[in-house]
Amino acid sequence: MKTRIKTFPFVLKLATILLLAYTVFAGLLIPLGNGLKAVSPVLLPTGQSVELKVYAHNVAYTEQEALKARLRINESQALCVQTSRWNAEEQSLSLFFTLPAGRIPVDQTAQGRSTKSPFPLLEIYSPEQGYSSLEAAVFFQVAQGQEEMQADAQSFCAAESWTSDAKALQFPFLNILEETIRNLYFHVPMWFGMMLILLASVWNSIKVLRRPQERVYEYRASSYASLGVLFGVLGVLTGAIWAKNTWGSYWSWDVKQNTSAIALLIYLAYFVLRGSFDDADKKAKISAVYNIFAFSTLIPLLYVLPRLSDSLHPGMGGNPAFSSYDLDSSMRLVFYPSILAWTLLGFWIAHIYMRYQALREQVLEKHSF
Amino acid sequence: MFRLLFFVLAFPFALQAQTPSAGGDAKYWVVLLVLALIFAGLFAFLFALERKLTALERREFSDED
Repeated sequence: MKTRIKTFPFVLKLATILLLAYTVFAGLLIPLGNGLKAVSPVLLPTGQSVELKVYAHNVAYTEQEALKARLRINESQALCVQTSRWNAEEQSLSLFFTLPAGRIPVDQTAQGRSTKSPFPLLEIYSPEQGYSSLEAAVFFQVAQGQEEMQADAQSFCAAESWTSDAKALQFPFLNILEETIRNLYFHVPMWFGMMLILLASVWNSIKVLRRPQERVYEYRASSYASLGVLFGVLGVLTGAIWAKNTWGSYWSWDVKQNTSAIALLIYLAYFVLRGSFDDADKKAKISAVYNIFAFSTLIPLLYVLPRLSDSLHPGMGGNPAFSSYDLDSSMRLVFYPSILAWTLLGFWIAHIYMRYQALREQVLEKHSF
Repeated sequence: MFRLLFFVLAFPFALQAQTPSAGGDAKYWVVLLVLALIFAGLFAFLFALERKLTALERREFSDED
């Protein structure tokens, strides 16, 4: 039976190109805000003057700046810096503190979903660079013989709020992630795109079972499934690259990585199943049934099981999700269009594949007589 | 054909994780240029495929009419 597929609407193609161009340029051009990466040493002995070297991202504190810095130990008290010095050769900031003798009363209460207290919180403020902070920056080592002694409260300064003026558009700096946070616009939209495309695939598989005589649903179901799996594979690849840069290895046997791989293997079996049939009607019906089953396994594998276990992946096992506090308004400006861009690209390529399938069947039918 | 598409789509991601922050770093602009060329090539490829399909469809489906 002759089935001709209409072309993908031009306005959607144009939208795909513009949104993808926006995603790539904005996602890579907008700079990260400044932030504190690390300090040295991490262990500070109390009862003496110490030099704390601070390494920051996207900042260069100069000698002329009216810089303020402190180690906040709780909501209202802090150890204020005596002096500071910018080391231009090694791009670090040296902060000089005089720590009181005895035990310093650091507030160790964990906040909300965090697994550790943010204190001692290192805070740095300058009029030019703005405000930066590093949670749980250091540990205080109490000298022998002073363990039972409480540090003199007079040594602490008040921890009033430091606010920064609104800066130009920038993405937030997050420790460990740093520049790789830009992968948010590639990795996560791949998975969103995959789910939307596979949803379209399973919808068309249901239509295949209801109206088996209309071949267009069969072309749609298989084309969307192909692109869904392609996007899933790209999602795993981008995730592995991100994991290498943040977790230390491409594959950490993290539960989210494992269940994603299992989900993709289940979908790959769909294509193996299709390849085992010669009869077109049987192929369409049986693969439609399998498609529905495969989609139904995606939900527990991708969204339920990972949340039940400990995981390094954001949003699972107690780790804060990107949507809860990391995804501020500057990132949403690029993130939402990127989801639309990648999804439209997937549908466009699937549409071309669909037309190819219909044309191929038409040619085979015509030339078989 | 789809293996080629896969390669084209996957390659930028290997570069993306190493991108430095915006600001006068030449490496950054090279990465952006490479990505732009890859995506431009992808879209040109998709448009060319569609043109070819349209021509074939006109021939094959109009013969039946």
